[in-house]
Amino acid sequence: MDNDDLTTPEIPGEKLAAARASISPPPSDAAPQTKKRKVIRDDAPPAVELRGVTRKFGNVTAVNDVSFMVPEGSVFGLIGPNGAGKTTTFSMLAGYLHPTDGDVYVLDHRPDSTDALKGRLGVLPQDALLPNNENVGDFLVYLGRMQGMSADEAKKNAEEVLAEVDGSAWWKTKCSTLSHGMAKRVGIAQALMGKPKVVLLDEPTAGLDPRVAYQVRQIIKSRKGKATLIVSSHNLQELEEICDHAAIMDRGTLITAGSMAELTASAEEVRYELARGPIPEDAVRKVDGVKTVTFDKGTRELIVAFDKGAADAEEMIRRVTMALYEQNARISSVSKGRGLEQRVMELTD
Amino acid sequence: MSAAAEVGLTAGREIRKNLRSTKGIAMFALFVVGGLLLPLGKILIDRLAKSEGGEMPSDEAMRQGKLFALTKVHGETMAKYLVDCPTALLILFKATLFFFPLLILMVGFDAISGETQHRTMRYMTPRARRASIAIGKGLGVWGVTAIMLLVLYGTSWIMMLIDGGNPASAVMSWGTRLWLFAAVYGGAYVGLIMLMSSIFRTPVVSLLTAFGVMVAMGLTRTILSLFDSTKAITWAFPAQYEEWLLSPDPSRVISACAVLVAWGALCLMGATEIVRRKDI
Repeated sequence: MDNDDLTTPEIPGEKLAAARASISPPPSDAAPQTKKRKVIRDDAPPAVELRGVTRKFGNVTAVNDVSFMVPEGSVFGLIGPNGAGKTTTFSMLAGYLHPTDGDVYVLDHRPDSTDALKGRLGVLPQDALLPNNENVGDFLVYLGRMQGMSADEAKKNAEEVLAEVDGSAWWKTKCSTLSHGMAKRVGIAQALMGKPKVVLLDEPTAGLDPRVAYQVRQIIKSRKGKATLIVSSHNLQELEEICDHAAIMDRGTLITAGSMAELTASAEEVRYELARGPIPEDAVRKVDGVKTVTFDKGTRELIVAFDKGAADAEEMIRRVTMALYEQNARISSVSKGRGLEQRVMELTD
Repeated sequence: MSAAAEVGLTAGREIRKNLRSTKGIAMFALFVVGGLLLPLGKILIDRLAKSEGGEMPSDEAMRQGKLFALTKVHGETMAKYLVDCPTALLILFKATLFFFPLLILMVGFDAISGETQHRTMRYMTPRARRASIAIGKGLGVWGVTAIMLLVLYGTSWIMMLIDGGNPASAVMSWGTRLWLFAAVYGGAYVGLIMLMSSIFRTPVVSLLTAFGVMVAMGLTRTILSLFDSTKAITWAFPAQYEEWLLSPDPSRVISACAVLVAWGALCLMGATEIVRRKDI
């Protein structure tokens, strides 16, 4: 599929910044926003598919009858607490573990079909050590050549991906002397070699300092639409920022999976945190498109559910905000949906 | 990319890795220095005997003495064949057959288990067939140990040529043949050690188990050879073919080489199947 076909004017999953921007009118001299951004349609063909996958270790069932699809070109988050089965699922996707039952398909092939997936699947394993006695450059060139590149191509590509993770200076450094963060970045570099169609990243920013973690997030974002990325992480803010789809797992089972907008209800709910003052619930109920209005006294949060067919979230924020201003309500913050963290807390023990 | 290319790349990496690692260099140095003591000792003893100024036996008497000793060990036919082989090379070859499997053990015990334990193999399996990785590692270990053996043999050839105690043609023709036979003999043990390395995730466990299996194989073969009823079973052990490698009959030499290579290949196939099925 040509990813350029997937362009639309806005990203449905984008949240707070857009919400805040819609409250303040833009400066009169601001140019209208014409830049189109890539989104993934939910009907995109699956790049990765799990069908009734179960994995047992002796009597312990680590993953139980899990099925979900990852749309082509999406950034897909694998979410869940410790012991949820994320890493086991990830390992089956990468072909490290064989499922006890069920089927896993990556680009329509089983993950151990190396011939078919060579150079099309990049993987950052979470806890795999780099080879002690090898230089970073030699190792990356070896991996590139194993992907089918010529020696020159492999060297050129290795230099490029290493530069992308800000690691050009480590070409001749022995892998054993790299710090945890440096080794992680070399791991990310090798996963990106050869522009793979599917990239699996297990905890890509764990142990990285904030600046490098930011860089890694930018690298992931830059590949949105060009490759399918599956990111397993505990960092929910990060996942909410970079992912457009996700699966939430707990105790080896799939709790839910879908687009980030569906998971966070960002396309059908807006939340206002109100400071002391009037709480004009009735006025908000009368706003066109509003379905329900509830006010949580503890958090002073006004939760407005709306008919997503009637208007998009930004339009609803405009309408509801107008109603609140007219009633002299004092708005502290606005957000679309529940936020991934809150959603995960609701769904998992 | 073909499986053969994957095997070649993996074997090349394994050879480079061993020639650069502290363990590989230490094993290399120990093996070569230790091995050279044998031909060096033989040369020094010969020189010492000459410098004593005593009555030296004639060349023919020396040959007869060597023939007598070889007949006791190998029988008359083989003794007549081996009597022309430089003694230092023959001693080196015999010692090699004992120590070469130990070198292979020390070099290869962690070839697969080391990468499974630290999950380094996870970087490779999305890119290459697991079977190619296992076979490549086996061939790499065989290659690097054969290179170490060649350095040992090559150095001993040079020492013997400088000493001048043997005709250059005999040193080179016997030297290359014996190196080749020793390298082929090692192939069987490469397979065995790769099999042990594929079974276990912890390198030290694969090291100890492989060593234990090698000792057990030696003992079992010795015990089986004591009884007529069990002697035939000893042909299942690689060490049984040592004698055939020195045979004047080319068909026996070829058969021995074929059996040893097949033995190693069978073990390597087992290792490949284990790696293919294993959770890594």
